[in-house]
Formats: sequence, C-alpha cells, structure tokens
Amino acid sequence: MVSDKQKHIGLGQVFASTIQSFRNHPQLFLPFVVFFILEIVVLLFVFIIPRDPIVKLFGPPIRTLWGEGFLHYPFNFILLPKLASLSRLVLTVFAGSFTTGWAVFLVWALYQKKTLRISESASEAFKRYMSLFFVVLTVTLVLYFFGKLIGIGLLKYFGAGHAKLLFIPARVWLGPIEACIGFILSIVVQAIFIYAVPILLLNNDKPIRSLARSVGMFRRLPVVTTLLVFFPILLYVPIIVLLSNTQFLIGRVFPEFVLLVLCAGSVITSLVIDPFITVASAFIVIKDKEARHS
Amino acid sequence: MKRTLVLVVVMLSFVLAGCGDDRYAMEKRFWQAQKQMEKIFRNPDASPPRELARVVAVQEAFSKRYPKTALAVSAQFNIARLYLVKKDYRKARLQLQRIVREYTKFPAVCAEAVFLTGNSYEIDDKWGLALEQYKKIMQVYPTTRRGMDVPVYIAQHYKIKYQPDKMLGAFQEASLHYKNLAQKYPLTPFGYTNYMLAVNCYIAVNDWQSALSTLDSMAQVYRDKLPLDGIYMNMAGIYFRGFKDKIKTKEMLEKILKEYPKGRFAKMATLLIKELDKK
Repeated sequence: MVSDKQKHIGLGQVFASTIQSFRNHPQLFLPFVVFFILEIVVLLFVFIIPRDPIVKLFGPPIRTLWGEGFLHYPFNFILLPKLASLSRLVLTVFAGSFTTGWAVFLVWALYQKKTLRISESASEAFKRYMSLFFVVLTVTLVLYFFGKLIGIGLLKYFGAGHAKLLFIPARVWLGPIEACIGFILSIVVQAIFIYAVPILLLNNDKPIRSLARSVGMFRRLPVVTTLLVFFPILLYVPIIVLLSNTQFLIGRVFPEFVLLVLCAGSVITSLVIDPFITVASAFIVIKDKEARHS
Repeated sequence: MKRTLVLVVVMLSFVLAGCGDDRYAMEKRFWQAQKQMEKIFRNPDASPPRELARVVAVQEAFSKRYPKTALAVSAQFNIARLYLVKKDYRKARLQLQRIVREYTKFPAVCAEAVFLTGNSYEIDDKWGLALEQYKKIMQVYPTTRRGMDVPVYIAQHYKIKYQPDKMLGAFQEASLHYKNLAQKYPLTPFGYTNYMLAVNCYIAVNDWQSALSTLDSMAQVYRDKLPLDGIYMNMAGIYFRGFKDKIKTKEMLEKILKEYPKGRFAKMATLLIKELDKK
C-alpha cells in the first residue's frame, strides 16, 4: 500500500532541504570534490596523451580506434570530448560508485542528527563497494547502450537508402534531433535508476532488488523524479552545445578552449549536478522510508 | 620519494604548459604560424607589407627551428604561397628555387616546388613559361605524385580554356607518356597505375579502340601477377559505353564470373548481366 505521505513528496520541499543541507554542512561536498579532482586528473592525462613520452604507450589504441590524425595538434581536440566522456564513464563506475555511496551515508548520518563523520561514512561505503560497483555499472551500461542505440538505428535507417524520416531529412535527424533524443533519453534512464544507490545502502537491499525498487519508485513519483534530474541537467546544456561544435571552437577561438569547456563541464557535473541529484534522491528515499515506517 | 614527486609534478607542469619541445609542441607552433598566415590569405590586398614580412619571418623561424621535418618544408612552401597571394611573383619563384636547391634529394618536394613555380606563371598569365615548368616535372620527376598528375593537368587547362585541338594533343601526349612509363617500370604497381592513367586519357578523348587495346596488353602483361577482373570490368565498360556492343559487354562480364567467381567484381558483374538481359 502506498500512503498519502509517500505520494506527496514535493519537489520544492526536496530542493529546499537539499540546498539547506549543503549550506549548513559543506562537508557534504567532500565526496564530490574527490571525484572532481580525479576527473580533472584523468582529463588532463587524456589531454597529454599525444605528447612524448605518453604517446608511445597510449597513442597506439587511439591510432587503431580513431586514426593517426587524432594524435596531432589541433585534431586531438576534436577527439578530446569523446575520450573525456569515455574516461568519465570508467571513472564513474570505479570511483563514482564509491563517492556516491559515501555521499549517501553522509546524508543518512545528517538525517539521523549524527555529527558528520567523514571517515566513518567512507568506510561504510567501502564495505558495500562491490554492490555499489554493480549497481553503478549496470546503470552506466544501460545509459551508454541506450545512447548508442539511437545513433545506430538512425544510421541503419538512412544507410539503407532512405532520404527522410517523418518528412525530416537525414542531416537534421543525425544532427540536432539525435542530440535531443539522446539528452531526453539520458534524463529518463537516470531518473528511472536514480534511487538505486540510496535504496541499496539505506534499505540494505541486494543490488538487483534495489535497481528494481528504483524503477518502482520512479513509477510512483514520475514527475518529481524526472524534474529532479531535468532541472540540474539543464545547466549542462550550454556545454553540450559547445562540445557539439568543437571544430568551430578550434578554428574560431583556439584549440585549448575545448579543454576549458570540458573542465567547466566537469565543474558543473561533478560539483553541481551530481551532488544535487545524489543528495536530493537520498532525501526522497529517506522520506519514503520514514513514511512507510510511520 | 618527495623528490621524485616534485620531479613528476615539474615535468607534468612543463608538458601541460606546452614547454616541452616535442613533436606536439612543434605542431602547435606550426598551427599558430598558420593562423597568422590565414589573416593575409583572407585579405591579401589589405594586409600591409610589414605584416607580410612579419609572417614570413615567423615561417622562416619555424623552418629553422625544426629543420629536416615535413612541417619545415610546409613552412617553406607557405612563404612562397604568401608571396604568390601578394602577387610578388619574383620573390615567390626565388623561394621555390631555394626549396628545390635545399631538397634536391626529395623528388616529391622538388616536383611540388616546380609545380608551384608553374602556377605562379599561370597566375601571371604566362602559360608558355608555366608549360615549361610542367614539362620539366614530367621529364625530371615523373615518378612523383605530382609528376603523374601534371600531364592530365595540362590537358584540363586546354579544356577549361576551350582549346579542343590543344586538349586532344595534350591527352594524346599524356597517354603516350603514361604508356612509356608503364613499359619502363613493368610488373610494378607504378607501372599498372600508369597503364590505367593512359586508358583514362584515351577514354577522355573517346579513343575507345586505343583504350581497349591498352587494357588488352595490360591483361597480357599482368596475367600471372594480378587478378584481372578489374581490367575485364573496364573492358566491359568500354564495350558498353564506347562501342554500344551488348554482346561483347556480356561476354566480358561472363569472363569475370568464370575466371573470378569469388572476386570483388563478381556480384556487380551478375547484377549488370541481369540488367543487360532486361534491356
């Protein structure tokens, strides 16, 4: 049975308590700052791959997968966003799973009016690392393959010789429409699985069960959950627009500007969007749990 | 441990700051020099002589800093192109002569420099002198890529200028030139390419019979060396387009299927036979 309290989790209330928590307890940012530092280090590493002596070791895979050209200035900046995105995916699975768990335990401690013990929360997250890893890996893979699916589907359709789909030419489908569908799909997939980690840790569930219960919670709170993901992600739209025009940025501004955009993107995702969504979703799961117990 | 860490951090900072003088740093400097050059290319008439001198100096400094690299050669060519775009043909030609002197051992570079010299005469409306340069490439650097392009380039020039007699003559000369080269380098990929270029020249002037006999002699020369399905496909095309002979075309396509049933042209040959049967 779903109680009235469970049904009425207001978005405004969640937003307000999330912002309030960060304002009163800036330590909540710590897991996200750790992830951000890692992300920047990896981004800088990816940026220096074309340089000696790193190119000798990491150049061959790039040469094989994408071509020799991307190891040369300024063409390496065309590939940089793709490499940054792939490395972020890997980092999210290996390190992000831990930092998200750490943040959820901090929120739980905050809810229980305990003092925020950073190391204690970290060690609790570490104990559940394998489960966290599995959940985050599953969500990341779903996100990745859904993203790829549209592109492959459209390419197959237009590759078969069709010039238009729903009266719209291939150029538009494979350009802005594909980007928009990808963006909407990423919001929906994230919204569906957003509660998986808090459920896993706070309800002490098994990974697969927590993923399933996250889907259930999404079905119960579709609007709140979707908007919870949608509003913060809007901040990232300018970065998506800029990164879809890397050749323009390289030619008209300067090649290194792509790196600056990627750094700005990391600041927005790791220090604004991720903290907000993670803490807010943890609050919703806590409130839901509270409602069920009452 | 602490010292190692400091060393790593210092090295990393150098690399990130672009202070390392590796290939990547060279490419970055070249790109920056190119960007400065683009401003003059975009508006050559408005850029003052001082700006030209500055950009030329940048390119010169680059080629001196990284001698014996492909980008240094490009920088040398850039200087010539800058003079060309500023219509200072004398200086452009002097620069190109310098390139030929400096890179004597690299025929491809020399051929490019001579070609650009020819271009400078063409822009200056001196076709006779330009032609001299192009002929020089055909004689001195025939095995370079530019050397292979130039005979057709000359013929195309006459085509664009509506000089059909000269165009026909140029194509005939080109096909003869390619055939001679093909015979000089038999059983090599270079020889094969030259045969094909000769065939294309014959096709360009609708000399179907010569094209066909060239392909036929190619088939004799490369019989035991290469799959001949490509040559047969070309012959089929000539029978169809040139002689409008469907029977011979079909025979040629069937020959492909018989001799190379799993070859790269087998599928296409089957489809074309079906098309021919429909008509």
